[in-house]
Amino acid sequence: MMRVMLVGRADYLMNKKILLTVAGWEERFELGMAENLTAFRPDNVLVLYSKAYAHWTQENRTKLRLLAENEGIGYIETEHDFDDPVSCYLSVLESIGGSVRSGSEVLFDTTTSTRELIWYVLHFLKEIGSKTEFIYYRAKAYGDWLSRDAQAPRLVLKCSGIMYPDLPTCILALSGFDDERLWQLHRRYEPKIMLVGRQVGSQLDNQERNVPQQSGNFENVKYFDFDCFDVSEQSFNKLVNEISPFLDDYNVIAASLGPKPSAISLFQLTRKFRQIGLVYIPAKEYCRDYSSGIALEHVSSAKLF
Amino acid sequence: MTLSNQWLHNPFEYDAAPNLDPKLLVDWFIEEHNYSRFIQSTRNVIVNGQRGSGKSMALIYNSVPYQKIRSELKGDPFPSTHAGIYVPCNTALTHKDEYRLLPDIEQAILSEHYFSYGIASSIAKDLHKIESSFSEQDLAFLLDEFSYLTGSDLSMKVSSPFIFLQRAIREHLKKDQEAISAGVEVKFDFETGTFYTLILPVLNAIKETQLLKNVHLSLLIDDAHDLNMHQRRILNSWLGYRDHSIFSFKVAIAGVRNYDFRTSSGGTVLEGHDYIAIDFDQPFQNEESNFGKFAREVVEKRLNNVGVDKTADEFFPVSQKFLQEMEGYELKAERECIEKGGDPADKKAIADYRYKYARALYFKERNPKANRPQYSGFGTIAHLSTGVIRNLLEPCYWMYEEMLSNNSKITPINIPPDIQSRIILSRSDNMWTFIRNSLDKQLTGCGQSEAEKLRNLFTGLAEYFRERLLKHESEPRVITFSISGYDSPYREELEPLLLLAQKAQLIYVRSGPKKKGGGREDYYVPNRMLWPAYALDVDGQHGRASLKAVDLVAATRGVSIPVSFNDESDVGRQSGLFDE
Repeated sequence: MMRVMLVGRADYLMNKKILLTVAGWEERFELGMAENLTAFRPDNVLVLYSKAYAHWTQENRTKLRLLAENEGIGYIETEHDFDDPVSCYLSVLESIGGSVRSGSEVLFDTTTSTRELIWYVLHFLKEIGSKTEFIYYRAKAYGDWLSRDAQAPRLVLKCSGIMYPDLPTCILALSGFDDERLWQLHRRYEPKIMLVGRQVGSQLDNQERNVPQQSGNFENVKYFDFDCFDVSEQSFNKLVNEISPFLDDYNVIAASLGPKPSAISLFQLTRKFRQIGLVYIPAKEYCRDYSSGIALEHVSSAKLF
Repeated sequence: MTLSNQWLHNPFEYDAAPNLDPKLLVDWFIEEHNYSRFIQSTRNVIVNGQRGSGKSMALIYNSVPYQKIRSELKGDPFPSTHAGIYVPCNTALTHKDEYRLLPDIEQAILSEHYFSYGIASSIAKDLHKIESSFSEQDLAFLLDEFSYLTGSDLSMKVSSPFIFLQRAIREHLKKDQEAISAGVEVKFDFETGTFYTLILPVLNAIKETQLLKNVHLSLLIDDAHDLNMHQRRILNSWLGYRDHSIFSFKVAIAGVRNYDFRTSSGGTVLEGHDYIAIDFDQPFQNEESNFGKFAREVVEKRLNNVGVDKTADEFFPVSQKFLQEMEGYELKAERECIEKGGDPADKKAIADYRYKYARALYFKERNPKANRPQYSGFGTIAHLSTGVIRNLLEPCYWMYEEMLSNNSKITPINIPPDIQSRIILSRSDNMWTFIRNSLDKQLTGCGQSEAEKLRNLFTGLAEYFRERLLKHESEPRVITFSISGYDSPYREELEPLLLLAQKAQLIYVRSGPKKKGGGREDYYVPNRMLWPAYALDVDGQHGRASLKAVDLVAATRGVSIPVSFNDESDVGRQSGLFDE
């Protein structure tokens, strides 16, 4: 059963400006939401949070609720089992379906969301017909690791593309700092070819941390440079150009393993090419001290639909 | 030293079978000393084998396009008395999960629909590759049948019945998946395919053709463990279909021990009754069909294909220094035997003693400050494979690559022992690096805590076997073990870890005669590539250590496994790698 908390005007959200987010325990969640409340001036805030990590996000959620109350903004939060994709899909659908209507203006803060949830939410918002913008805040500093104990990769419900049994698999991965996730995808789907978008730039010691990928541990892999933070049309077109030659002859599975805005780019890609499926690699363990601060000078944001 | 040759590709390529060049696969496949003949039977067969055991290659080799290639390259009869259709299950379609959003019954219907269409698509794909062998009348008949069965319009203007079938399936699947993906809820109201409404009629139609009317059809289902729960149960139900006059199933599974053999209706299919089981993890049951012979033939055939007319032993020679030193230790063992009261006239007893102790003396009397032993020779490489063909090819591949990197223009005619040893030690070190650093990052389902326990367990086993090599009186070279006292609560702790270790191919589980009381028991064979890093003898002694579950659980926490100096292992019951 989904736990729901309603505060203020949250029970009549429809056709209002809605700030939608997935609760995190990082400092940038609190700071980012304060920015959102000021800049976006929502009528209501909808917060989805993980049941397993409810105790970690409790403090940030409370602060956000109080902030919203002070501003006279409606606040609703709903609890979800992120480990169970079916239950999570259905409960998030219920939350969003109960709050967002066609024409609602939605700002979706993806900063501390899982990628799977980003894709569920975007799918719902697109189907409902809301006017949706996303925002992502980088942290000031990052720790060594965010998640570990990765579980089996899974195709994302409703975003799994059109697959044919007689075609080989091509994996499109917008990659992170290690190739262990790539290995997992490789082992699971045994692709005939992998296209790996390597993060460009020197932020976060990126070039040193990307070294393992450059060593070319895989056969039939093609690397290309890509800025996962860049959600511009130009960046999107680059993805389109990279994947287009493979669309007719391969089942294409796309993974966002690098900076999170790449999940947005891949979602957009699946809307353009419905045959592309999205894959998510869940993790069992997260680092509580992964990041600190917020880098307001580096915000990724775009109107999506 | 070398032969001049233009063909410088690496003959020990060990890519997954579906990715290999078909002609190479046909060239490299060894029909003897494995279970290929079972795949050509008319019975349902379950093929068990870990990754790299060669089960996919055996299925693909027996599929009809490869039969055709064999007839062209080797003059094999075509069509044969059987024709295989290769059906891979590790496809993106199989991994789709939307069915889980449906009620139970509809989940099963949608799962069977995708699976049936997958099989039909494989039939079309494989038969298209031999289309030129069908008569015009056959093709016209099949086109008509497929049109009727799929309900697709012939206005697609396709003359090939197999392209027609593939396109019709794609059309259906496209529409069906679009319908499933649309909106936020999942519902479907399209017509679904089943075994009885699609596959069976397609097979019947194929059997009506002049080309295949006398041919038994085998559906070669590869990686069935990748099917979803409903599909596995549906497949099990199909295995219960007793009429094998037209077709049978050959189903490859990695890890049959944990496979669910329940059917859709709640029954269970039974070995011997509904299917026969063959195990690619144990392809060396006796002298007539052992892994040693098989491994040797695989290597020699591949060498032959690149123009190297050498035996495996000649191509991978043993270090002369090692041989000389071993001669000394063999004499020493013989002297020791006689000193302990052995009859010098009893040649067999002395030979037994020499076999048992000479290698142990070599490994344990080495100066601790000396370099690690030199691991070389084809026998050593075969032992390192732990009975898995990909494990055999992998070090050979890297040795060959090193030779080519030294001189890429000349085909090597052998691999010098020092290069063999260097690659073996490096692969062994890599395996330990993986255990130390990457288990929780690369092994699905393995968290930090499990990774730490596995690290401790394998380190504990390595130290145990090392200690045993140095001190054990009667069975120093044992490198396999069984588990005693394997009951609750130790089983609950150990079993998940051992399953993860199997998944990572760090350990293999086999079945052998029980030490006491008759019957059989599981025993555990750690990947022998682990042992060079610990200077252990990879040519393990016949026998297995009996380790207590409580000690293994303690080992997962970093406690040393106790070694007794004279406990009796199961000597003589468990035979060696080449004798099983």
